[in-house]
Amino acid sequence: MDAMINKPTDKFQVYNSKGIRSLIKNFQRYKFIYMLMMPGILYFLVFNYYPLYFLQVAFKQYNVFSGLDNSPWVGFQNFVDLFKTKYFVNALWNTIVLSFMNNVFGFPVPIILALLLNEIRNQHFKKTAQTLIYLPHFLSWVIVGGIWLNMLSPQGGLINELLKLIGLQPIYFAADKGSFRWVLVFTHIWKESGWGTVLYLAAIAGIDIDLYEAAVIDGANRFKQVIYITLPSLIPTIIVVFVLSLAKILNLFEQVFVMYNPIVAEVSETIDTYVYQIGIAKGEMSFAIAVGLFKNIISLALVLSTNKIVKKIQGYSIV
Amino acid sequence: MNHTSLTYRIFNVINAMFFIVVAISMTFPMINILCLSLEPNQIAIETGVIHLIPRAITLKAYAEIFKNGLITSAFMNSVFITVLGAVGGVVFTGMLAYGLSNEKVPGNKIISYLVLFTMMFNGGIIPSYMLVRNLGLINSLWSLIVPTLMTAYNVILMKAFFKNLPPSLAESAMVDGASEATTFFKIILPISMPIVATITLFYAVAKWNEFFTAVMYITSANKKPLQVILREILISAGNSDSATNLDIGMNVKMATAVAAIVPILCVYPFLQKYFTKGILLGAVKG
Repeated sequence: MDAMINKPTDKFQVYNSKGIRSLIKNFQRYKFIYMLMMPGILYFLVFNYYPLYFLQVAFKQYNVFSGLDNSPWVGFQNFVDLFKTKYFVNALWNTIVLSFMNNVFGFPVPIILALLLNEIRNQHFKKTAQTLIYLPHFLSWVIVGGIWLNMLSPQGGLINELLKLIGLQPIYFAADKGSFRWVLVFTHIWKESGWGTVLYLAAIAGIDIDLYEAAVIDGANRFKQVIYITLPSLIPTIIVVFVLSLAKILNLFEQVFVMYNPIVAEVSETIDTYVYQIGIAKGEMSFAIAVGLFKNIISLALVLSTNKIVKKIQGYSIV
Repeated sequence: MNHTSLTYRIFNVINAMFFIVVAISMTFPMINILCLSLEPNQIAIETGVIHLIPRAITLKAYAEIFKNGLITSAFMNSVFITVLGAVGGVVFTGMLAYGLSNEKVPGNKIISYLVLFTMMFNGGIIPSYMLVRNLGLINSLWSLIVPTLMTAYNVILMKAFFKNLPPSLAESAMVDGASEATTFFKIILPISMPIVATITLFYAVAKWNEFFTAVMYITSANKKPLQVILREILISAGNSDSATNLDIGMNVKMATAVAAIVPILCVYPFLQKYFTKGILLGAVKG
């Protein structure tokens, strides 16, 4: 992961000699490269940075008739009102809980799967298993959500039929407030952990064989090799994956949108679905943008602070 | 070195059984809907039966799909945005990533950081909606292609790949008098086909599965892409009153879902071929 990890280097090596003249020469020399990068840079400027201009609506009372520029400025009032709104606070809580569950149960799974997959000797079996576990990642949530809701249905759904077979009562999973969060977490893990193994498997494949040979000479069995060589070597990868996942930690939308219903909304309405409800469905733009901004600031703060901590402990940073 | 010790052998057996269970759990949902799509509707909706092997097979559900104008137009829409989105995406991404992979280019670090930053902070769905509206793209298929054309993640992947190429390649070309342009098109590009293929497929799958942006931006039924129509079909109660259509049976619902999965299954072997060959290994190492 060296490309993603920034080791402290001399930041000024490009501008070292002869100052401005050398700079201009460099620009001319790399004219083609700049032209090449232009479209991509333009894209990010227009579609990622320009929309930030609209964030100011969070501090205004948006009025469709006055438009963006003429709506009155209200400062932080929207944010204050937000925290007084029962639905927002509920959505915030749900997002935190669901994210927490997804990470606690979901983060270790790809790592363990990768470690176990690595132990399979038969290449054909290994490749087949890999092919099958990657597949759900490439399906849309419309499909995955649709399939699982169908299987969990109390009328003829496969899971409930299996339950009946072993003598249990069918459970209406998708309409039960107690079980719905688990449904979301389970299907999320089902869909994504297979793909999550790709990065870890690649990292494992890159570990120096000499380390293992030295361990064998020292008498380590397979299990000890995993604990003392494979896992420690994976730590940089794990850290990068973890920090990057923090950026998305409050993003729970498409899955919930596709799978939830009014009965379980109380336990599964997330920040993003709430933004959709009040922003697109009801048109309360100011509120919706305020929520979005709030969420983004939290995510950013999380990523940057974790990055700092990692820097202190490990000596390098991800961002 | 006791590779054949008893504990190890037992572990191997258990490990194999574990992955068989995992593999089954990944596939039986698919088998379930395949079965339901092949059964006649009366059997498909039967309760008290485990639908893994069809008790009677009919292709009537699939025939219904092709007869349905809304579904076929949704397919075409999805194909349109997938092809354009994937090609456009990989071209723009590759060009940017190649530029960023060259450390000597002034401004390289800043631009890299700005790209990375978009992964951590963005305007959100409402500002994006406002932008698309101001651009006049509401209810146009282009609103599903252009605003989501590139992702920072893919830029980073391609950049890592380019960085991992032996520098001697470009250097020897330059020594022989090639310009930056010639080097890129004649030397780097041909050798980068694996990552180009991988990223194209990544974008293609993303566009094929595009759902939420379509819900937000597309209002006419005949412009809706596949996933949106599929969702409407899946949640319809079977006696639809909306602009979709009459009496969608369980088997037709499942058949539509299967039809949406088939293209993904078709490109899947190609995806596998490229990224198990160590593309991402290069990205991780580099």
